Amino acid sequence: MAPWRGLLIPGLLLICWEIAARATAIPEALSRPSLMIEAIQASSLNGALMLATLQTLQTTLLGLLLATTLGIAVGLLLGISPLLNAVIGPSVEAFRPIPAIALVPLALLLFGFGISLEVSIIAFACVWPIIVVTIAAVQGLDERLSQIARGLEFSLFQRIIKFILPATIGRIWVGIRIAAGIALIVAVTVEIVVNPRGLGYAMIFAQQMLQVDLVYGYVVWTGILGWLLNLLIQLIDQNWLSRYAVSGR
Amino acid sequence: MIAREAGSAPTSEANTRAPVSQSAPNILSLDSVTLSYGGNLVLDRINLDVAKGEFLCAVGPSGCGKTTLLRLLAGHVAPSSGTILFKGAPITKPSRDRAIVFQDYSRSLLPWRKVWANVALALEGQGFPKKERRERSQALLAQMNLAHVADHYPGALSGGMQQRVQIARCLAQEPSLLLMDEPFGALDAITRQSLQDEVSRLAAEKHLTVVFITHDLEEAIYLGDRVVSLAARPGRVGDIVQVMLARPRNQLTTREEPLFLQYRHRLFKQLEGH
Repeated sequence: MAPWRGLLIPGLLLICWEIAARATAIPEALSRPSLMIEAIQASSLNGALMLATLQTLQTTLLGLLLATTLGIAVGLLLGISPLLNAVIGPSVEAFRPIPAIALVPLALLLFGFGISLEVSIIAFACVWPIIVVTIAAVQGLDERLSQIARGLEFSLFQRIIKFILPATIGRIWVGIRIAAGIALIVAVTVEIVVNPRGLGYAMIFAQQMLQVDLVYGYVVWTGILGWLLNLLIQLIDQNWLSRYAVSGR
Repeated sequence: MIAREAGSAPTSEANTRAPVSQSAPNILSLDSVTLSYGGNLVLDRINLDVAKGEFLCAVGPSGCGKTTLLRLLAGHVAPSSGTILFKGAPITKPSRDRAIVFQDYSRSLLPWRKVWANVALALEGQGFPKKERRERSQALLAQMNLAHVADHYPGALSGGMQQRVQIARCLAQEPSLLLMDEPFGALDAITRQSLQDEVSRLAAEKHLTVVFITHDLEEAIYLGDRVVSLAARPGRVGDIVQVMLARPRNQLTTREEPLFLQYRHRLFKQLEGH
């Protein structure tokens, strides 16, 4: 399927929006695509867009990386050990529903404004899907792999490296994909709510300056960024991890 | 060593040892091995000795505990009572010294590793440098006529080739005892025959001790030095036949020998009786 076909609906929506706005069928506060593009162009020329984008991407990726490392580690432990799962599993389920944004006041006290504040909240939001998916993937492993590993007298560490991780990475990657979407949402939210950096802050700043066109420009740009991030993760899956997905029994 | 007879086994001339067994010490010795699982008696007082260098085939109907028996020998499960001695010591856990070839080859290879790396898996954690692991794997693959697919992934191979890769991995760990769990059960008849001959040849060349589980009576007679027939529910030793057919055996002529047919007749009757 040609990739451009997916652009059909967004393109049509933009055109309808433009027409409706020019016909003054919708309130002026809704702006229109052509003004939006002009505003975003201006922002990109003075470097503001680039800086905000890099700041948001930085925290998004750092938070995602932290969540992936922690999530896989915890998920492996709980997936491998029924005892640990019985002891820690219920706590995981209890922490999971806490909205990440609810931790902003606490994180602000701990870290102050800046990268750490944002990264910690993103990591908190992203770690749960990765933990849950990793536990399920490990528990769903074919018993045969463990029979072979035990027959060759591999240590637990060797079993994880040689058998468990390769056999589950395809499924864990699904969790990482879900987490990546969450990461960007949380990053922008934290920036809008409290952190004076990145795209979220740029949006709220433009709104306070009554630059409606720029607000929309940032919103659409953030959407494109999220789409690109997802595409990147899918490409890694298809090019590097497809062999492992075969084993995802 | 004198062969101990199973409690319910009929006494017959076939229960005496062949020359090869009389001189060789027992590598494996099962004494009254019983296994219950959830109140079900799966294996009932199995008495069996396996001599070093012997090719022992166990044959029986489904539900006779053949696979369970093999899992006991591998060390994946422990008997409820009785003892299993391997090289004089009780089996408590799986060991590199006992390799097991599973029937379902596709589940038993790592699809993310190339063929040679699947074989080399058995050499990892043994202190061999990577170059030597590669060379040893390559040499084994050559013996199994698989050298040309060393750099393929298992998923690209036919079933028969995948099973040969699994056998190569098990040989790579140089076990004292090779356990085979219906290894050719999922293969077509022609592939099965060529693999039977291949395993027969390797066993002779490398002086392997093999315990081979199958539901195919003729396969058991064709391959084995001895054939143990198991009876079902609960699994127990029914009969033990000493196979006196000359080696190397031939798919056509060996299977036509009157002795082959006699063994077949006798074991068939025994299996039918349950």
